[in-house]
Amino acid sequence: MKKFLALILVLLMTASLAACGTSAPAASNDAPAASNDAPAAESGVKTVHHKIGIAHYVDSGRAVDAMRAFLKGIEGPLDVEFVFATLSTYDEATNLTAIQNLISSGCEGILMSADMGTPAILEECASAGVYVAGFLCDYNQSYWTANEEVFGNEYFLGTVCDGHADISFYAEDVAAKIIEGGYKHVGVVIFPEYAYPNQAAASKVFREKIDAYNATAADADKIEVYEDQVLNFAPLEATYFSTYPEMDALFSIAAGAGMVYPTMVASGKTDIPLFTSGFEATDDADNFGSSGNGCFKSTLCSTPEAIVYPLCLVIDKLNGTTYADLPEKAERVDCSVLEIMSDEDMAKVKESAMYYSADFADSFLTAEDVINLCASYNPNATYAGLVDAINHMSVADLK
Amino acid sequence: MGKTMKNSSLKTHIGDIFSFAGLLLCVIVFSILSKGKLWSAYNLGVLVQQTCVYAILAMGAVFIYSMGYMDISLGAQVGVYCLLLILITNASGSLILGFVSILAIAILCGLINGYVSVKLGLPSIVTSIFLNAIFGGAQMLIMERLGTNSISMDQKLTFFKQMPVMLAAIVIIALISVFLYQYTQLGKLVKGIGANETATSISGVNTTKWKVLAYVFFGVCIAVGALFLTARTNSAGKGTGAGYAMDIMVSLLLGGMPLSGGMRSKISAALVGTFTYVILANGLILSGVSTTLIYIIKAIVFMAVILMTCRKKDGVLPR
Repeated sequence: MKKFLALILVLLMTASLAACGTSAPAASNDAPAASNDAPAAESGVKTVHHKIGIAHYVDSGRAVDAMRAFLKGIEGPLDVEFVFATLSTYDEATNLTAIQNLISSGCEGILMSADMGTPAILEECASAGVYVAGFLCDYNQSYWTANEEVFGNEYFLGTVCDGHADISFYAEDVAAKIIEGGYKHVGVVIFPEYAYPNQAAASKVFREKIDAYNATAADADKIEVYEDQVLNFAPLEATYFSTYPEMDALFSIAAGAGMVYPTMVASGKTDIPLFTSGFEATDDADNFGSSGNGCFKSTLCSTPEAIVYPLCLVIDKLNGTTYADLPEKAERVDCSVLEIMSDEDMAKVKESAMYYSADFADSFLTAEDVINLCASYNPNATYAGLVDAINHMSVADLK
Repeated sequence: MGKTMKNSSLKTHIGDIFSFAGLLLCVIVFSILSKGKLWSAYNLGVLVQQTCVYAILAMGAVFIYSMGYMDISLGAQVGVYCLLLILITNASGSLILGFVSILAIAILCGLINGYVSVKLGLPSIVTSIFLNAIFGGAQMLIMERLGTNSISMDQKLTFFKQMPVMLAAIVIIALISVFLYQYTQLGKLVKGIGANETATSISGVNTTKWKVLAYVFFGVCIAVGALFLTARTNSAGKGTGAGYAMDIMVSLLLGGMPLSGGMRSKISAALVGTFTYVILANGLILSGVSTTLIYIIKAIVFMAVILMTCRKKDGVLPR
């Protein structure tokens, strides 16, 4: 009897949850629609309905909330239904399964943020006539299976990186801050070079900049940079701090808020200034600069609105229209980053960036802007204009 | 008397009824919620492809779970076998050599898993923890040595991606499993070990031998599963196989397999369970359920199945 009741209870709960999930809009974020959320009819453009899958390697967090709020803000005017799925950054079969499920659910195009198993996925998409484009990913992480095979595939339309493919500019900016701050012993943390070659390159640029300073500095002012600590996609070990007891600054090019800061807290080392990337808008926002324990001194992230790049490419492809200046081969393009280097930058981000508020009203782009970026809805739209739009989303561009 | 027997028979089969009812319910509910997309030709192919590896692994795992044991090294073993299959095949140009190599390693691991645990008097889950650590480390070392996230096979394994081939593989493994389980001593004794190992041993059965044989068959299934998993994407990486031990356990539970093993164990649990598990995951996406709710729904179903299938007197956890 108890088992029967348990079964009935489960059926009721499952059915109600499934029903709730089904009746909810595809983008389940509750962010209110903004005033610029004009329907297609009002904008005077006749849009075509499409169903597009968003396959992202994370399914929670501030960045995901912001991205979903943005998609929710544009879905009505753009007449697009978004379906979400979660990808893996380390398992090809998981990703293929997720994409197959999206295709089965009727998606005509898919935007992906992880590149594991992309050749098999493209093969699947080609057989189903579904187009793929990337976001937050340079398709260079699993480079044995990506690159030429991917970018040469007619069903792959291009990708926008998580900010800049080359982050040397940030390494130079942090080096300048280290020199300016008078730090003497600096640690550097990166992810493995095979997965993130740009981080190893940034570390090199950082060292070159410090070496250039050391070449002319007095002995007492010279800066020692410890060898790279490679994180194997696991949090930093606490022994790192006992290995370098004199360390007075830490540059974690690898995601510092998630992989390094928790270890610093556990080791009581939050007095070491942390320069990092991968803004999570949680502890890193609360303890930035003069706030909280002040551990975070700089951080970096790309903006959720950059997803318009692959989105416009997919919509145009589905509508059978292309930009007059569209390159023949799919491209990997950069987008603006929110480079937060000071209290003022952080205040501006907290006040006006959609990344932080997850409010579509704070978006760099209105729904009308997105429609106008598509060649199929705006004959004057250009590919150069699309790339330009995603490169005007920096802290300086915030309202 | 007749009524008592009828009740007893119903009690014996209540697990089967629940598991088949669960599968049927999943099919009906998701047929409606997905507005028929569940039955599209494309999706049926996807379901077969997604079920194939799970079903093969689960049928091998039935022999282990029947003894009330559990093997958590499954995922790590699958991962390493996929990598080795690719590396050996690429180096030699022979898929047969690649497969025979991983088959030999899988059988050897089965022997180690079964024999060592008996000889050292360790619970088999402990030896599987050792194997899991060894294979997990090997997988990481191989990928670090290669300096990449993912490796691909030079030759395309399209033959193993065809729906008839995958269906045939499921059927063949199922026939072999049913034969071993129903018509040989192996099946009867693994259930006996699960029901009461001491009694089985006292009755003159060399339990060590049958435990080792069960693990050897499990190893064969892991090797075959690894072949089909590799064929799906023609590649493998540092995370290949991750989570498979848990997926197989959940699938078996959904199929009505008691975690404590014993006489109520059955091969059908593997097939019913894997189909239910795959249809559940696939159907929720097709029905437009948000990704956050999917986790909750899966957790509720999992908990409910444990409550319904466990025998409290034996405890919930496997030995």
